[in-house]
This record gives sequence, C-alpha cells and structure tokens, in this order.
Amino acid sequence: MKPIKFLSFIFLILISSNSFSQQKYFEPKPVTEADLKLKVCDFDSSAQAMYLFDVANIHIDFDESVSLGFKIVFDRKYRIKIFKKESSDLANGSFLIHNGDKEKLLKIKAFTYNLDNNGKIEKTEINKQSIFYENISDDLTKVKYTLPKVLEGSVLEVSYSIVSYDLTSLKSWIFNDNIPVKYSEVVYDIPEYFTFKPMTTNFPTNSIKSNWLSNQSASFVSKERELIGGVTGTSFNFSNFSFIVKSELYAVNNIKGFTKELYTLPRNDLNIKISQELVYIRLPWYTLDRANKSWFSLSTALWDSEKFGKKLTSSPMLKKELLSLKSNFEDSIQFLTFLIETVQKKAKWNNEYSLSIDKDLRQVLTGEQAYSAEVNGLLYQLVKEAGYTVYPGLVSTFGREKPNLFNSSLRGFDHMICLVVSGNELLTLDACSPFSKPGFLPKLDYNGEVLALVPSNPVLVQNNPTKSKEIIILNYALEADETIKGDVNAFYMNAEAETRMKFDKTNPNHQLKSNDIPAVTSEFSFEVSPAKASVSEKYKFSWAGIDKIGEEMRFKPFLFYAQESNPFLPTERYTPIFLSNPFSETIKVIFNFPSNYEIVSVPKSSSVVLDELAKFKLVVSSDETSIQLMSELNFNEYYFEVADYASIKKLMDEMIRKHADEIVLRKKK
Amino acid sequence: MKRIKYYSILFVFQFLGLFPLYSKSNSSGPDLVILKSETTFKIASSSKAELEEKYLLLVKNAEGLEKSESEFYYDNLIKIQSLTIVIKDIKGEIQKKIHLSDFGDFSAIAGNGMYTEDRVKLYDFTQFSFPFFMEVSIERKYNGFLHLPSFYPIYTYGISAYQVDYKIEYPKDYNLTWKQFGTGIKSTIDTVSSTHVLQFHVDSMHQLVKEDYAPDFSELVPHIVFNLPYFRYDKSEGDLSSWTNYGNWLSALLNTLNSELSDETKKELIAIKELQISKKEKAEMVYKWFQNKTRYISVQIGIGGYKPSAPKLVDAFGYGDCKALVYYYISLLKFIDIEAYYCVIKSSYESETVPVLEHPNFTYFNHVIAALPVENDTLFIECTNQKIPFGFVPSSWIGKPYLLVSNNQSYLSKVPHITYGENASKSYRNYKVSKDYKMLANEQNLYSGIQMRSKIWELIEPKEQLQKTMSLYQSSKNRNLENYEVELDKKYKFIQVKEAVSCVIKPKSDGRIILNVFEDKWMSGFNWDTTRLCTGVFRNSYIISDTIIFEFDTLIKDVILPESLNHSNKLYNYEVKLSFRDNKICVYRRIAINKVNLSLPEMKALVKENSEMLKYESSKIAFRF
Repeated sequence: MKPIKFLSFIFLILISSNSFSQQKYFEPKPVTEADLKLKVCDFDSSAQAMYLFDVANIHIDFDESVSLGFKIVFDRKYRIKIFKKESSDLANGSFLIHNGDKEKLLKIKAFTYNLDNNGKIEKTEINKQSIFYENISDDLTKVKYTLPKVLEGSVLEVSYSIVSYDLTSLKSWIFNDNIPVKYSEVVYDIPEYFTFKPMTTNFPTNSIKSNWLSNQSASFVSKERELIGGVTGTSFNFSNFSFIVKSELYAVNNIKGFTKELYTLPRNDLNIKISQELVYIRLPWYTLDRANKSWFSLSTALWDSEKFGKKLTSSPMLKKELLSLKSNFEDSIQFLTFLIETVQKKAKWNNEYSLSIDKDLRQVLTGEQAYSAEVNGLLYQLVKEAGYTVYPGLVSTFGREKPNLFNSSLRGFDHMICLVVSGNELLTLDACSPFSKPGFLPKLDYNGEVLALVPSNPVLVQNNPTKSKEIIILNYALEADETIKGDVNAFYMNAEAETRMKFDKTNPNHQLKSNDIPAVTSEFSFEVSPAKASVSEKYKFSWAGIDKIGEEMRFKPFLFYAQESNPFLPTERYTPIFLSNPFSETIKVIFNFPSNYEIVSVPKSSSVVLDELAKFKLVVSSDETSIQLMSELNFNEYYFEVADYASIKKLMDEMIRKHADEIVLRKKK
Repeated sequence: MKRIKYYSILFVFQFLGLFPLYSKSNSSGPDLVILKSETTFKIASSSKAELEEKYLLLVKNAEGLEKSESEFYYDNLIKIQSLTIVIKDIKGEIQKKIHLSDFGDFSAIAGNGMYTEDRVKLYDFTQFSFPFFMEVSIERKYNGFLHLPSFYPIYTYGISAYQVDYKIEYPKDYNLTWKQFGTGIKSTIDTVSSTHVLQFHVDSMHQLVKEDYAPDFSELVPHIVFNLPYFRYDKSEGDLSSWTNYGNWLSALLNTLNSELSDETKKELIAIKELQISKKEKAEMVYKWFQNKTRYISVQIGIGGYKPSAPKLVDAFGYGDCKALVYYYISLLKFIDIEAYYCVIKSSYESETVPVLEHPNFTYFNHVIAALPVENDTLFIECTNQKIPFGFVPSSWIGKPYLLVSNNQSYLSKVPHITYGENASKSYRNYKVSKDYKMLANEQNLYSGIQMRSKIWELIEPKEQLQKTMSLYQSSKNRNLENYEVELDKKYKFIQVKEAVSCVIKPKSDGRIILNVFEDKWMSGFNWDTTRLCTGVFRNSYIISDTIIFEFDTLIKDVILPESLNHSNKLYNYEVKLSFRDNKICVYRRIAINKVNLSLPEMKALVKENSEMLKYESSKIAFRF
C-alpha cells in the first residue's frame, strides 16, 4: 500500500534576517516650536491648513501564522498644520477596513501638539473613546477618529497600520488633497515573489521616484502527515531561503490644494496617484498568475469566464426569427435600432453597471432585473444571431479610472456595450441608453477608450463623444398692446437630448437661460425620438418684458434664451476645461413688427473664432417689418488645456455681450 | 382578482378627485397617496411596546418616493422585528417582494455627526418605474424606551390619504392622555379586560400644497399629540406629566456628570474672575476663551441623545455636541460664581403652536443653549459656533419655547421677541459716473432687528471666503468688487455692510445710457398667484429703504425717469420718489410691511397689485452725456 499524503505541507517561518539596504524612507522629525508657530503655507498663502507630510509604507512581510506565509502591511503617518480654526474639522478623520479575516487594524495613534502658555510644546494623545468603529456593511468597517484640543496653530499627527491578508491587492496612494501637501510619499516593499505593475496618474515633473534592493532570509518548516500501514506519522523538513525585496519610492513636494471649478474633470482624473496591479505571485509553494500580462491574455480569460464569455457564447435563442425579420428592414441601422428597442422593451436594467453576467440571457429576455452587462449581453446575442459581426466592448464609465494602453488591466472597466462591424468602422450600441440610436452612447459611457474584445486581437479603440446639437427657433411678433407673442421650436440631439430627458417634460421654463421667463400660452409639446436620439419641444408664449424709454422700445432679441452669465468667471484657471462632449447651439430669431414702427437700432453681426476649436457667430439682417438674427456657438472639442482658458472666456464674454444687445424700435411719426 | 381590486380603488380615488392618475407635478395632484394605513401600538409598560404598521401607498413620482419615508430607523432600544415590502406596478402585478434581509444596513449619522448608534435600513426603490404601489408591513419592538410620536394622517405636503387607522392598546392603569388639534379625526376608546383600546380613524384627506406666507403645516392638518406620563430611558426613569418634571429629570441627568476642570482651565478662569469688570463682561470673556478652545462634534451613544458628555471630558478634549458644550460653558461660569442655565429649546423657523406647550412631548425640543441672567435680563447663548457673537439670538429662537433646566425648579418659557431696534434694512448708495462710462458704487447698508439676522452668517464666515464669494457674485454681473466689509454694532443694534463696486457702463449705440433703477425687486417676494389656496400670515413688520444718488462728472441731458409712486394696502405701504436736480439723479424707495393676517380673498386681490408693482420695479432711467 502506497502512503497517502493527505496534508502536503504547512510552513512555519522561523527567522527572517534584517535587510542590508540603507534606510531611504522618510523619517519624520519631532514636532518643533517652528512647526507650531508657522503662520502660513509657503506655497499657498490662502490655505487654512496644510499637510506637513503624509507618508506611507506598504510592505509585504513574512508571517508564519498566515496561510501563504506573507501579509501586506500598510503604515500611514501624517501631520496637519491648522492655520485657521475654521479648518478644525480636519481633526476628524476616517478610513475603511475590510471585516472578517481580510484585514485588521494593527494600531492607531493620534496626537495634537500645541504651544502652552509658557511656550512649551504640549502633546495630547487621543483617547480610546474618540475612536469609533462604524459597521457600514457586512464587508466594511469605517474607523473614525477625532483629535483632542484642536486650536488655531495646532499640529495634528495621526498614524495607523492595517494588515491585509489578500495578497492580490496593494493599496493605491493619492498624493494630493483639498488642502496643500508639503510632502507626500509612498514606499512599496515588494519581495521578488510578487510582481506588481505600478500605474501613475498626473505625476508632476517635480516628483521623486527611486528604488533600491535589499536582501531578506527566512527559514520555514514543512510538515507532512502520512498514513503508512494504518498509522499516521508526521515528518518535518527545515528549509532556509533568502529573497530580494525591491523597494519603490514615489514622492511629491509642495502640492496645492484642490480648487473647485466648473466644467472640470472628475476628481479621480485630477488626482496625483499611484496604483499597483498584481501580475503574478511565484512563491516556492504557491503560484498565481493574473491574466493582465497583456490585453490578449485578459481578453482570453474573459472569453473563458463562466460569468462572461461562456454566457455570451450560449446556444442561439431567436436566430431563425431574427434572420427572417432582418429582410423587413431597409438597412442595417434600422434593423440594429429595432434590436436595441427590442432589448430595451424586454430587459429591465437595474441601473447598475457591472461586467459580470450571472444570469442566463434567456432570463434577461423574460424581463428579470439585470445588470448592464446582462442587458447588453442579450443585445450582443441578438445582434450576433442576426448575422452581424459583433464584439463586446468594455467601458469605464465617467468618473472611474480611465483605461491605459500601456497597462493591460481591467481596473476601471465596469460596463459592457456592443461593437458592430460596419464597413471599416465599429458601430457602438448600448441598450442601457435612454435612446436606441446605433452610434449614440450616453454621457456616462465616455471615459477613455473602449476595449474591443476581438478574440484573436483585442484592441483599445477610440471612444470620443459625439457632438450634440441644440437648435432653437424663436418666431415672434410685436402685438398692438406692445407685448411680444410667438412660438418656440427647439430641437436637441445626442447628449443635449439626453440632458433634456431629465428635465420636467411638462414645462419649459426651468431650462431657460434667462430669469426673465415668458408666460407659456399653449400646451408644451415634448417629443422624443429614440431612434434619432433627439428631443423636440414646441410651445407658444407671450412676453411683456419690453422696456419703454421715452418713445423707444427696447428688448434683447434672444429673449429668455439669451446667454446672460459666463460659466468661466474667475480670471485664473487651475484645471483643464472639460465639457463632456463637443456641441453646437444655434438660436434663430425671426421677429416681425407692424409697419407703423421703425428700427432705431439692431445688434451688429459679430464673430469670434478660436482656430478649429470653438466659434461664436452672430448674423443679423433686417427689412422694413422684420429682423432676423442667428447666434451660433460651436465647440468642436470637449477638452481644453488651462492655456486655452483665457480665449474661451473671451469667446463666451463676446457671446454674452452680443446677446445683451438690444433691438430698438419706435413708432413712426 | 387582485387586478380588479387595484383598478377599482383607483377608480374610486379618481371619482373622489383625490388625484389624477398620471399627474406629474404637485399642482396637479399629490406625489404620494396613502390608500390604506393601519398602525397598532401595543404598550406593555413604560418602556416596552410593540408597533405594527401595515400600509399601502401609491408612489407617483420621485418626490412621492421621498415622502414615503421608506427609510427604516432603529437603535439599541427600538428593534425592527420584521419588514416586508411588496412592490406592484400600476396594474397590480407584483414586481418585487423585499424582505428585511434585502435591505442595506447603514449608520444613521447625519450632518456633522461623528458617531451614532442609530442605524437605518435602506433599499433602492428608484429602480421601479413610477407610478407603483408599495405595500409595507413592519413590526418594531421597543425595549428600554417608549416614545409615542404625534399622529398625523398626512405628515407633509403633497400627500393624500384615503383610509388611515391608528390604534393604541395600553394597560388600564396607565395614564395616557391625548389631545386633538384640528378636526377630521374620529376617535373611540374601548376597554377589553385590563386594556384600553384607543382608536383613531381618518377618511380621505386631501393633499396640501406648500405656499409662501401660509400658516404652518401643523396648523393646517388635524393631528393628535400624546402624553405618556412616565417613561424609562435606558436605566433612567422620568416623569413627563409636566414640562417641569421633564426638566427635573434632565437636571438629575446633568447632576451625575463630572464637572471637574483642569488646573490650566482653572488658572484661566481665576484670571478672569479677578478682573474688575461686570458679570456680563466676565461671561463674555469666558465665552471667547471657550469658543477658541472647543469645536462641535456629535457623538450619540446610549442615552447620549439626552445626557451630555461630562464637562471634564470637554475640558480635556475640546469638543462636544450642543449639550456637552453648553454644560461645559455653564460649568466654566459656575467656577467663577456666575450662574447660568442649561436650556432645551425648539429652534425652528416655523411659528409656534402654543397648545403643544401644554402637552409635554419627549422629542419636542431639538437644541440646547445656555441662559445667563444679567441685570434684569436673560442672555441666550449659542455654544456650537466659534464665531457667533456673545448673546446673539438667531431668528430661529425668537419667540420659541425653551425649558430652563434647574434642580426641581425647571420651568417653561419663551425667548422674547428681542428686536435690537426696529426690523429694518436701510441702504445708502452713491454711484459716481464719469464721462468715460466708468462707475464707482459705494454702498452702505444697515440691517437691524430681524433683517440683521440674515446677515449674521456673513459675519461668521471667514473673511477671505466671503470676499471670494462676493467677488464672484459681482463678476457674474460684470462688476469688480473693490471692497466688502461686514461689521456688527457693539450693542448689536445693527450690522453694517460696506461695499464698493466698480464697472464700466455700456452706452447704447445711440449714446444713451440706460440703467435699472431698482436692482433688487422687492415685490418678487410677494409673487403668489391666483390659484392660491391658503390665507396669508405675515409674522413680522419691517421696513426696507433704499436711497440712491447718481452723481456725474459731466453735465447729462435727455434724462428720462419713471414716475414717482405711492401705493398702500393692508399689507404694505410702498413709496418711490425720483428727481433730477443739480446734475444728480436721486431715487428714494421705501416699503413698510405690516404684521398682518390676510384672508384668502385678500391674498388673491393682492396678486394684481403685486404684479403691477413688480412691473414698476423693472423701470429704467436713461440719460446721455
């Protein structure tokens, strides 16, 4: 009888030697009188508080008591200087830890430093009652703390350590915050058995990067239990091994606090950040390979996944029916529109994004609540059965981490759409959209490239938002009672139509640009064309806002659609301008007046052009009894560097100036 | 069968006119309809009870969902035993059955809260298409504390109710009392063996639409207020048969706290005590020291909703909630032999319904302040703000009831209508216009009485932040802010705001300059429409006046001014005078609003007058150099 090995080995780390590398980590000096007397941040004088430093060391350590012999320890320490009492809320902090066996809080320490009446440094430690553990879900606990004796001038110091037993994930580090940061640093100490890919975002030119190697050794015991002839025995093997630890340091100095600005990128895109993504673990006793070595390996893993590829390649559902239906449609666009509409009618999206397809697609077809990948998984299946070449496309929705061509990773991706081959192009389809137009994606779908899961050759394809359109036609006349009556015909397409869908569909007034709102004298017609991703609105109005100065009558011809305020007010800009999508806005005015009136003055035509980027144009013409104006605002791009800000501000100023120009009439004598 | 049932209910409501089926906005129907609601409160003792609620709602839109109160709170003393919600579409077909385990469980922390033991069960109902039915069945168990909330058949605006039943079963020897406000609630009381059964029933109640200058919600909706004479909170027993007894219970809680102060604090206080200044001045010095030392943080643990942290802890750590900070401040004053009192107050912008004061209720008060008796007067002191001036009374306290807590001498009173001078805002504006079309405007605004209170927050805001905000506001009007200063008069009689603004005026193509006479349209505040449903309640009289002088460095011509105006009615006297003399244009405008109640016809009659006045306020002045 052969011995049966039923427990292969348990290892015990006995010794780990000290590294021989020289110390390169940031070493905080004790709080000094100068720290406490500091009155202002030297690189941001308006700051009410600042981080003197915020440093972390994330190290993967031996631990004999854990299953794979390694654990990850996150040590963070920061000091905040309070310049103004108003910022004392910074004395309240929090962080999250995973519950159960995933993570543990090893220690938390916090102190407030003040100068006492004798000019001596007084150090007050946080008490246990000021640390709270709030269960925010089954999986997460929020550790909250509030520091004592916070005064103007105080220095707050907090340090905590968290141990994690999930070796597949290293914490990311964000170097900036709402207040200025004098120095921010993170050091990752990674043993040679682990390979992570670092991904940095927005790293400034003055950032510091360095790395060094150190050597560590350890002993472990492997224990084997064997059943020989009905008797269980245990044998021990002692092994010594040494390994190299690579330390990577990333640091940034003097970072200004965030400034809230309009039309800017989401916070995630503005952060100075480093993330680490696991590629593989190759311990002598355990290996784990992540599929993220290349886009190809990631794609292959997804196609092989039970909760993605396997579901997308399940047996056909409606192939015959779809193929016979197809001939009823004039072209592919119409048929694809029909397929999107079918999925939108049948499937119920639960408004949650996910890459996971848990449900059988037949269940989605019967109207069960489904995640985005399940809804578009159904669409993929139907499009494929209808005979089209279609690929799943992975999307990172707005606000999440953008895909990075040079870092094959699923990080950020949270949504799946369909990409249909149409000639030389890929046509995007998304049944989670409010519309059914092929090629139209909702605003949230635009956040960097789409990963096209072409089995043989997965690629990141450009995904730029389509231009939106807004056309408003104001046709009105001067009445005998010297009020204005007329009608509005407005047409919105793509993202602008999507925005309109969120508005009140019974009343136009809330969406007008001016406060000088009209009386709506008819039904408000609000029509949606899902296949064109458009919305059209119609209503009649009367308006009594004409100014009568002496014999003259004056009013702004764009009435309540006049642009009155510039969204770019501040003279300085710190972040790029982000407009979601390129757009054009056309307002056409046709004004008729009785022949017993004459024109005193009308606005003059004008034009401002910023190369190919943006344009504002006003064209005016008039005759004996009518005046026509056309205002065109065109933004051909949706992202502008800070350097373009002044020109864009000027363009908008000109538009506001021209929209404020009045038509002046008087009665003929 | 089910479908028929739902359709028939809807038909009945349509017939009754309770709501149009697919109404989109509040003006055309309620956001939420309570089709049927049954609540049973089974009281076993002063600290134990079971609450069973079953109700069927028609949720018509997102506002209706918000009003459905589908957030289920609990804490250590009130547990949710069971909770089931069935969602049905408008045809009555079941969309989802949601059980207690399907709900997310979250901390109920709000605002500046650091920690609370209160929790809330939440579920994302926004996934269902409106309108939908929500059938709720929930059982709660009270153990350790029993509070009977007031019974409102409809509890906010935009809700209609069809059939609402509320039942309380309680031991015969238990002296529960109740009082009805308004009419429309039928009540019965039965006795079954050793238990009283108190029942309330409401048939069809229309929604209320929120309107400006209307009586408060509680004055418009019939409701029942309960009083449980004895209560138990955690391990502490109390008596709520009178506000005095309740105050005494609070006082007993305070007496258990450790008020020992640190040596360092004592030293600071002794230094103040030894100064040869008045008691009020000493209290103010202590207040400033206290403001610098402390900050507001809310931590609610156990009985912490009623019992503050000990002064010793606030002294050591420098933070606390309103209760803890007030009691700490009182302890500081006590150390220098100044007597001050812990007061619970109803801080609210709504008017006060006096009868509630005769009917003690556990959750009536919502804030704690200090009361400091000085020279035949009482100062009321806010302790949660580091910038608010000493003894400054915010408008949310004026006329509001407070309970002064004192050992066996607690009493109920009201914060007097402190006026600090007349309720007025007066502006003096000097606009200097030069021939190159530059204009420099210097303004001085004085706010007194109630008008002053809207400006107090500018006083509290950090100066840099305020400058930034005002500067941005002015640049939105194409103006440059040159200066902005806010100052409180030492006797709190007024707040003075000085502002200097410059801009370039754009002449029209014919060289004419046209300016708005009135930048602020006062009448826009009285802009209700003819569909108004409620009478008008104008709680304060006040005066606003504006004097504007345009000065020019060059002679102007072709001056056109609107006519002067003097218009009076029951609500206001509105007067405008304009003149052009010595190359200056002078504009004087004044409105005196009366404290008055207006009937619905009077409110409707005012609509036309108000719109005429609003039109007048759009008048322009014109001139040329």
